[in-house]
Amino acid sequence: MWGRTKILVLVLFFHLGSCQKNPTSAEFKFPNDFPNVEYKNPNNELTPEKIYLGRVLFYDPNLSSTRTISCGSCHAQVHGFADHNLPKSFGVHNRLGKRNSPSIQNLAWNKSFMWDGGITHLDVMPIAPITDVNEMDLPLGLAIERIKENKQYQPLFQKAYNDTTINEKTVLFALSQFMLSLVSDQSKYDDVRRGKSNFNKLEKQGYTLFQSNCSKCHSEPLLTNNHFEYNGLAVNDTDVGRFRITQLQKDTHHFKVPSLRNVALTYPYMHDGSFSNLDQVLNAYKLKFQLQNQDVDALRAFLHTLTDHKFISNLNHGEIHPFNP
Amino acid sequence: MIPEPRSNDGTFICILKYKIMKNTIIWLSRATRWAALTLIALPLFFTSCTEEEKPDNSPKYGNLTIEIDHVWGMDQKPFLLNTAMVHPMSGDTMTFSLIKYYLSNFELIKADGSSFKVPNSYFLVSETDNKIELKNIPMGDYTAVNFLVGVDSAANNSGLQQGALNPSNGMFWSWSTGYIFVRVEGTSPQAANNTFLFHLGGYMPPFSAIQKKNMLLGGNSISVKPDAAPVLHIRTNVAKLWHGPVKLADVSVVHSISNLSVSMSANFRDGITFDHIHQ
Repeated sequence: MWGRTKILVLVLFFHLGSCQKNPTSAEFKFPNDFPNVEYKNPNNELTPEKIYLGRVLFYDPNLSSTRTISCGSCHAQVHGFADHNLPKSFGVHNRLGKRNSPSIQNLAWNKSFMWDGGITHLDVMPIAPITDVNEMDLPLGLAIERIKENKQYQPLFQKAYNDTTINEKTVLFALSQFMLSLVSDQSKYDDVRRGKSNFNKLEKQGYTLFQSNCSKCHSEPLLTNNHFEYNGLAVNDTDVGRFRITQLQKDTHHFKVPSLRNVALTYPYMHDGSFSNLDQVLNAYKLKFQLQNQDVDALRAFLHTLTDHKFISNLNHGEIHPFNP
Repeated sequence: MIPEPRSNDGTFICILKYKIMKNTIIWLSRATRWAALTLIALPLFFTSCTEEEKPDNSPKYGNLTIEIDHVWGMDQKPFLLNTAMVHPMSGDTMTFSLIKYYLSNFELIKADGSSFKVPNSYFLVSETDNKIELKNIPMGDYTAVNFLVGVDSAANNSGLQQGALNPSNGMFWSWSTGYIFVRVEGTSPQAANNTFLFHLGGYMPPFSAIQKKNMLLGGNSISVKPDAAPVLHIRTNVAKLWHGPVKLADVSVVHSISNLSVSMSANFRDGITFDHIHQ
């Protein structure tokens, strides 16, 4: 009996030892049936504490000049981290943005960011909306000051970095971490891919049509090839797209192919939000690819299987305001 | 006093052994004292004998300061902010509010062609921040200095950087990741809306505005060594930016990549010249 007690004590001792909550690396795992991650920053390990800090920053409207607009204002979880049914978003002073707010999901696999791919690293991505006059309208240095002036941030930085330094690096690395944690891979489509579920008859027809007509640009499993394409659906479009970045004629009117994951939630569609709902998009493509009405129904059914209900209800991703006023 | 054993002939050998042991111990303790003294004294002996320096083959380093004078035009009038100046080629009257530019990737060349690349050398120069400190340069005589006007391709694309490359320095395009290499702003009656703004950047061919400067030191050399403070004086002729001329009535705003940015940055590079060395 005493021998068993000794074993119990040993077991308890080791169990308690493994419960230590120091910032730990490699606790967040990316799906292993996705391609290789593109995000490169060996100095920015993923830890739960940094992800949490990034989440608090993401939803903090004090990072805008008028203290009214946060990242979450235009990237809402319930809409797959795109905006609430707006073709273009409103920033400070109701200023209107230039393009449709894209969905923040699976960014670890992006080679570039924004509709024209102008931003090439996730760590510097937030600088654009924070400093844009039509969005949050705050110089980066002042945004850092806003975070410093809120003393309630200090324990969050301490937990994340073992240091209370607040600067461009500690702020932007944490924001990257939160964005990287927004992984969507639990839709019905994913369950079917992994052999855990089956499409119904209509969805299956839609999937077959999708593979023949759509997957050249909306390639599996990310549902985008991350290239710049011209889908020919625009009418009288003054937005020159990728040309703005490369100044090469061949890139005129080319935009980055968005992922179709959660597409049923991220209306309206296209870089200018000019397609209000899925049926408008499907009808445009029906014309382009000469499909039948029944094909449109099947495709619609398949596209709905790309909705990841776990992703949009994950309590670790939602809007949070943990500070006392 | 060590007691002697009271014994007779049977213990003679014992007594002898004891005496030998006692004497050995006494000898050893004396020897140890001498050994200790010798060990302490010996180096002192040698130190006091040899007065010349021990040969030291460890590498030596020194520092070099580069001081930049900003001038206007070939006759090298002083360049001043907030002062109306007439461009010698275009005739435009320009009053500057700001000038900032990156010089980076410094390399020092010796007469035999060998060179030293200064690691992590990125400097943001302005009219008031016009001194560059290059530290830990291997000792030697250098006859040329190479550097880039702008920021090299890799550093444009490496994500968030700090120091001179911090995006908060106002030299970073948030919408098209990369640095502004030369930033110049001001007012002019010849410019549309009375303002001019030239943000020259871009690192992707065919619109790369990165320019390499190979600066020979006019047959002179800079001597870098410990405890020396050589200063290399160079000049930036700001007017060279509008060499051509580039008339403000034709273009007064540049804030994206273009062929014009490439040619303007090349002219700006040509306007940076060697002046003299203060050894």
